[in-house]
Amino acid sequence: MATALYLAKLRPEIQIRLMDKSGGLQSATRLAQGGLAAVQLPHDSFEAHVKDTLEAGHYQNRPEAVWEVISRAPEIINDLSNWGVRWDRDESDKLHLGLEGGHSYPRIVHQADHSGKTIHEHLTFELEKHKNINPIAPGLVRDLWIKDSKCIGVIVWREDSSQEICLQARHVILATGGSGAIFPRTTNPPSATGDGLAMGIRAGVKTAGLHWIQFHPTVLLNSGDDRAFLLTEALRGAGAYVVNSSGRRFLFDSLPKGELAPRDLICSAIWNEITLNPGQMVYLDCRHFPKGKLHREFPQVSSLCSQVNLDPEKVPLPILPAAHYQCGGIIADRWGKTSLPGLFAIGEVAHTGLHGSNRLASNSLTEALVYAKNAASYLANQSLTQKQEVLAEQIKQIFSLEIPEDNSPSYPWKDLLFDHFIRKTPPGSALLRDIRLRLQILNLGVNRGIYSSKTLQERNLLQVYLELFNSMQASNHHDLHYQEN
Amino acid sequence: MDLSPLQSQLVNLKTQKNAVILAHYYQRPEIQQIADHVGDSLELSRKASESIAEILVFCGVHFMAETAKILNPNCKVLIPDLEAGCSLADSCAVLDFVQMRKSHPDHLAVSYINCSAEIKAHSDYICTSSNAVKIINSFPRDQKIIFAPDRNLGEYLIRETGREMVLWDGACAVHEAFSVQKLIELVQSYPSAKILAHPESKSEILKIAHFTGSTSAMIRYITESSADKFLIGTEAGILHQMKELAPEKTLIPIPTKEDTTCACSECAYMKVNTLQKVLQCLETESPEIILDPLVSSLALVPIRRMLQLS
Ligand SMILES: Cc1cc2nc3c(=O)[nH]c(=O)nc-3n(C[C@H](O)[C@H](O)[C@H](O)COP(=O)(O)OP(=O)(O)OC[C@H]3O[C@@H](n4cnc5c(N)ncnc54)[C@H](O)[C@@H]3O)c2cc1C
Ligand code: SF4
Repeated sequence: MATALYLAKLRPEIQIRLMDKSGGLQSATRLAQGGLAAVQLPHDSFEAHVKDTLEAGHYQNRPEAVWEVISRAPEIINDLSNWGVRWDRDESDKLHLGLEGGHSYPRIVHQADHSGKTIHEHLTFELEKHKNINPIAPGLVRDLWIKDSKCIGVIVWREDSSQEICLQARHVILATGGSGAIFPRTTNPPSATGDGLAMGIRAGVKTAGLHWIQFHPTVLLNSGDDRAFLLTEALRGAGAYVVNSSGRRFLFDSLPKGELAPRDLICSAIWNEITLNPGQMVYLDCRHFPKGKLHREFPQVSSLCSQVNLDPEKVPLPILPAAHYQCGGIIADRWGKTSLPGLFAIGEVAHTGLHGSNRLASNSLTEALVYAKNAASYLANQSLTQKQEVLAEQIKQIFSLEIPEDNSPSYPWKDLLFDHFIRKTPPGSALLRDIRLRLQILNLGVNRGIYSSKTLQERNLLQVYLELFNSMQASNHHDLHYQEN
Repeated sequence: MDLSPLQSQLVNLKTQKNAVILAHYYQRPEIQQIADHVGDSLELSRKASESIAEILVFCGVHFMAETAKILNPNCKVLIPDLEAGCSLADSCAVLDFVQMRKSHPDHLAVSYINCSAEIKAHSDYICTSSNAVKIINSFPRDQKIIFAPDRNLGEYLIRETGREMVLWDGACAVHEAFSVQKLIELVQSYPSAKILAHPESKSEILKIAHFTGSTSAMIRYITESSADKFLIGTEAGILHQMKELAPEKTLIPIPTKEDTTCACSECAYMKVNTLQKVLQCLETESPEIILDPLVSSLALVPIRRMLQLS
């Protein structure tokens, strides 16, 4: 969306089409609670933000990307303000800045704890003002359309009409988000099935750091639900404690920064606490907050807790780590360009090198916007030289596979996967064989024109899983989270 | 027709539940008696696809019940005993089959109906022994073909159609045991005969052969030998030639052409189903054949092609 907006401003005559399988309603962007990290105060500096980012990323980051994003974060905040986003401010009308784990200064620009939703709404609203941007079409992009080693468009699945539509385009931008749905417990929306990544992998696009999956340390333990409720890191920034069953702040045993240590270290400390002491539970304790503070500053958290009948002012909140963010992805350069001509990747699907092996909180929305802007300026110059040609559109009727609800595929491998990642044990060969077999059947379905949104997404999940596994095998475990002992 | 108490009980339950019982020819007679339809696997598949019953009880082996489910996915398909497998179907592992297809990308895969739903899903055509020749002959002459899983049937089809085919090395254990049995009977009826075999003969013949060699080597052996009776494992045409060269000796062929239909009449798997089990499975509505909807839809494609061609 942001790429489209930036580009429309530069080149109002270029036709832009947006395709979203969830109409944008299931995007991770809408769920972002914390906000956007952008250096503001006179005593804060780009250098400090860079240092925090590198430290969190275990120095696996690409320094140019780190500098690019961090130095331009304030500019992005400005752009968003111009699009109408209002930020929380203090009495003197200065931006209210949140402090989050891993940041050495308060620098998180936000609107209460629903910054993502606000941004998403404003961008959607802005889109409508541009005639050259077609309204977001409901459609699941199933694959890239490749010809002569170039990406010349996309193949879209419209479940409502059971049609497969090949759409030609001069440039294709993947902004499909992450792949959290391959894990049994994730903060990501259900749409995060790694579609863009899987398409890229199928097309042979270069990727990096796929196994750098970030786990969020403080996710509310609510049994039964697939999607985990996230308790924002800003809570720890605001002084919440992480305690064990006996109320002890055990993080300090291994982490001098305690609750403000980078999230991967907190995750492994929590995981160790739970696995090394059977029966042990871990909680986020906010009982010492001044009365009303939670309700005022963290309305989303507070309404979420009341939904599950927990009063954070009276009881500590049971928590567990959950898959949160994909730090690796399709390699994208400064302009969002990938190794496949014609294809760009922006946002969580891309690997720009900013995050290294572990993302610093609230760096990702800015990253997505910086590269959206870069890609737009690149595209604005590019298409000047290209002659207008008529773009093809082909429609094919597909046998839409109806999967009865009670017969929906189960994912027995999901639980195992979590364990593989946490314990670093490779999956058994039987499991891998089953996954490969299933993937073959799913691919066959696509080749023969028998599929549904469900099977297409399952296909992507499995594709990403195998790639994640390969990446995990290839790495020497240097940078994996949850390292035991 | 007099029904036993068990049979009457079954018939009543069947009507009550709006169920249809399909039985293969080789099921026990007492099962066939109460079945709505009796037939071979192709006929029963047809019946299954046409049926409007809520429940189908399939008295046969597992792959047949699966085929019924593929053809009628909205119907509940029950099988009296899940152990009723098929050694031929089991001889074809999906992963290896997919590998085989990958290494022969320009080949069409024709699979004998005795295979699992997954193999069907990965095949282009399904056939039975009665329509295999017709299906293969419907392809252009230069079409390359993979045939699975029955090697014997495949070899027969190569001879019949004159096509080149890549064969999956699968076999029915019952069938193999059956042909050994026939060989033993033959050897017993000519105890003094010498056994000669061509090196390409089946392994069980090679094991007991007195002499193995090329056709001309065999002829030399026959003319030089003092024996006068010979059992010879080779093709009928060649045997005829040999007879002309050694008219004074008795040459008896060892049949190499197999019965191409599976020897299911002899198959123990077919016999595991009993009336008691049929009754129990209809009462509890289990075990039920459950197929993944995608696998099932994919498997339907090659079966439909077969039904259209035959
Ligand atoms: C709970 C939560 C809190 C977060 N908090 C913060 C925070 O405070 N600060 C921060 O910087 N980051 C935060 N993040 C991370 C950040 O939200 C994401 O990294 C970022 O929003 C990713 O944006 P995106 O545009 O790449 O993907 P998304 O916003 O997820 O958008 C992807 C879109 O693509 C669509 N899509 C996917 N596949 C297809 C397909 N095949 N065809 C068509 N459409 C498709 C989806 O429907 C979706 O609308 C948070 C993440 C979560 C989950
Ligand atoms: S006899 Fe027929 S049913 Fe029995 S194992 Fe052999 S092929 Fe299968």
